[in-house]
Amino acid sequence: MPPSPLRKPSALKKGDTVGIVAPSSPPFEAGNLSFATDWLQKMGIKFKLGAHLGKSYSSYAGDDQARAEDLHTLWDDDQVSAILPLRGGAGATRLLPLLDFSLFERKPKILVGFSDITALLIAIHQKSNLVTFHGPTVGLMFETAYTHAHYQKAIMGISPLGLISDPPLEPWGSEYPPRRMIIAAGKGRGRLTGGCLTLIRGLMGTDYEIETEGRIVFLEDVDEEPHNIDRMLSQLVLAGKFDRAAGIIIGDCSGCKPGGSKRNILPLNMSVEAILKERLGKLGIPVIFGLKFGHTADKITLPLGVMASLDTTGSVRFEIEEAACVDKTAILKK
Amino acid sequence: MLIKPPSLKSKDRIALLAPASRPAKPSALKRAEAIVSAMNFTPVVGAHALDMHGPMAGSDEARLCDLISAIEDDSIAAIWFLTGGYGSLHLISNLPYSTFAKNPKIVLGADDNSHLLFALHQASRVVTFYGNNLDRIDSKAAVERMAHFFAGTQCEDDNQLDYGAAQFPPLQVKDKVVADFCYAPVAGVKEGSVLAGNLTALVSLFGTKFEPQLSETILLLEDRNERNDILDRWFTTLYISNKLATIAALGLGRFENCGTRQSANMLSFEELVADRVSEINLPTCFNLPFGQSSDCAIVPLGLRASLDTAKGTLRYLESAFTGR
Repeated sequence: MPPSPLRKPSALKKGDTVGIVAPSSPPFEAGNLSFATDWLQKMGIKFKLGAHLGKSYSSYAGDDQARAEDLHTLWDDDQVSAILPLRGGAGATRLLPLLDFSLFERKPKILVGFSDITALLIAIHQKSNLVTFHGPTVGLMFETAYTHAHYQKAIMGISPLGLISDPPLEPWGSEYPPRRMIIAAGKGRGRLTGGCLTLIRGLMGTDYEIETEGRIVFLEDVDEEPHNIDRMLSQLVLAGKFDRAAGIIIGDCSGCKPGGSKRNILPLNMSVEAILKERLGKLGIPVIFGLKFGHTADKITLPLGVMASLDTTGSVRFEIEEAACVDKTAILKK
Repeated sequence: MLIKPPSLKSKDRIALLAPASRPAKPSALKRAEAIVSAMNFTPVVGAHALDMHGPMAGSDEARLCDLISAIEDDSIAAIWFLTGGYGSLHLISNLPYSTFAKNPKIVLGADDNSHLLFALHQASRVVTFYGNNLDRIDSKAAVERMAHFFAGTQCEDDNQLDYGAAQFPPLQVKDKVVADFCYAPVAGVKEGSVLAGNLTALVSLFGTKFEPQLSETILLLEDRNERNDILDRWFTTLYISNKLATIAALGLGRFENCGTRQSANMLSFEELVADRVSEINLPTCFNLPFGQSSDCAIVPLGLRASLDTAKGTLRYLESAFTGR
C-alpha cells in the first residue's frame, strides 16, 4: 500500500478560533494564560480553553484522561482551526496510547509546541500523516520579534519559510554556541523531523519511534548533563537513526553543561560541542550546532514533514523549501 | 539455552575494569585491589582504568581494549567493574559475544554497567550479575559476602546464604516492617526468568538491536540520582511500548537519592508506577533490596525464579554457576 499523502493544515487567519490545551504540565499561574490570550486578541485570533486546563496531578495538568479529553474535544470542534498547547513540561508522552490518531488525520489542524510537546508532534506527524509545528507554545510565541515573526509566517502563511536567517547579533559581547557551528560539512535535502532529544529518546522502542530515513533531523534539549546528551545521541546512533538521515541540526541546548540538570552530575565532563563532534562528526552527513530553536527566547518554527535543505560546505545555508499550510478558501472551492 | 559461568577457585584472577566512568581517585584502584586480595583472589587492574576522556576512563578504544582482553584472556576467571557513571553504552557494538558464550566467566557490576550486563546476557545467553561495583563495597560483611559469591560457597554470617546451592540464594526483604517495608500495589506470585538493571540504562537500549527481550521476565529495576518525573518518563516508555504488559512481574528496588529533588509539585515515583501496574494488573512490589549499595543482593540475569510480590520474595529455581 503506498503511503497516504502528507496532510497539511489550513493556515490560521484573523478571526479564526484556536484551542488552548495543556497536554503536559499546567500553567504556573492563571496570569500566564491571560498574557497569552491578550496576545491572541492583538493578533485578531479568538480562543477556546480546554475544560481541564487548570487541573493538576503530580507535575501534569490533570490526569491523562482529562488531558487527552481536552485535546480530542478541541480538535474535534469544527470552529477550532489550531491547537496551541500553553506550555510543555512533562506528561505528553503519557497521552499517546489514549489518542485517536484518525481524528487528527480526518481533520488536519495546526499543532504547535516544543519541549515535552515533541511527543505529540512526532506521534501525530507520523501516525496521522500531518504536518505539525515545532515552535513556541502559545505561552511563549511573543518572547521576541524573531520568534513571533517566524511563528506567524509558519502558521498563518501559505508560502515556504524559505532561507532561514539568524536574529541580529548584539553589537557587543559574545554568544555561545555560535549560531551555525559546522560539526560536519556536507549537503543534504529531506523532510524535516525532530524535537527535544529527551522526548525522542522516550519514544524509542515504541510504535511512535522517530522516523529519520531521508530526513533532516533537528534536535535540542535544555538543562541536561552533557553525558546525558551523549547517552541519548549514542542510543540514536546505536539504533541506526542517522544511517540514512539527510542531515542533523542541533539547537543551542541552553543549560546543557555540567551541573545544568541539578541531578546525576559527574565529577569529570566533556562539553556538548566535543560530544557532537565525537558522536555525529563522522556520519557522512551535514551537521550544525547552534541554530535558534527550542529552549531559547529566539526560535524559529520548524514544520515536521516539509522538504528542507542543509548545505554546510561553505557558509551554512538552511532552507525550508515547502509551505507547511494550505489556503483554507482554496480547499473550500475544491 | 542459558549458559552459566563457573565459580572461582582461590587465587583465580579477577579483572578490575572501568568500562564507564573513571574511578574517582587512584586510591580507589588500590583499595579495590586490596579488597580482591583479601578475598583470596588475584586482582588484575585494566591497563586503561585511570585513563581520562571526559567522564570516561579513557577513549572508547581504550576501554574496549581492556574489556575485550579480559573476555578473551583465558587466565581471567571473572570481570568486576570498578565504578559506574557513564560510558559503557559506547562499547556494546564491539564486544566478542561468541567468544564470551564459548568461554563464559562471571561479570559483575551495577549502575551504567547495566548496558554491558544486559548486552552480554542477551547476545551471548550467559548469566551476568547485577551487584555492587567495587567502589560501593564498604563493609567487612560485604567483602565476605562477595568472596563467597565468587567462590560459589556458603556465607558464615547470620543469613548463611549459599551461592553454590542448587537454587541461588533468594532475594528478600529482611525486615518487612521497618527497614524495607515492602509495598505491593498488585499482589501475585509469578514465575519467569530474571532480568535486572538500571532503568535509565534499560531504556537506553530501546530501539537498538541490544534491546532486552522483556516478555515473560521478572523485571527488577533500580536507579540513582534521578528526579521522579524523569523516572516516570522512562517508565512511560516501558508502558507505551506495550512491553510492560508482557512481563510476568515487576520488582522495584532502591531508588537511591531519587525523589522530587526540589520540584514543587510532584508525586512519588511509587504512585506514578502504581497507576500503571494497577491498570494492567501486573504483580509488582516496591523496596526490594536490589540496587547499588552494599546491603543489596546480587541478582543473576537469566535464572528462572518466582516473585511473590506480597511477600517481597524472589526465589530462584536454579543455580547460577556451572559445576567445576
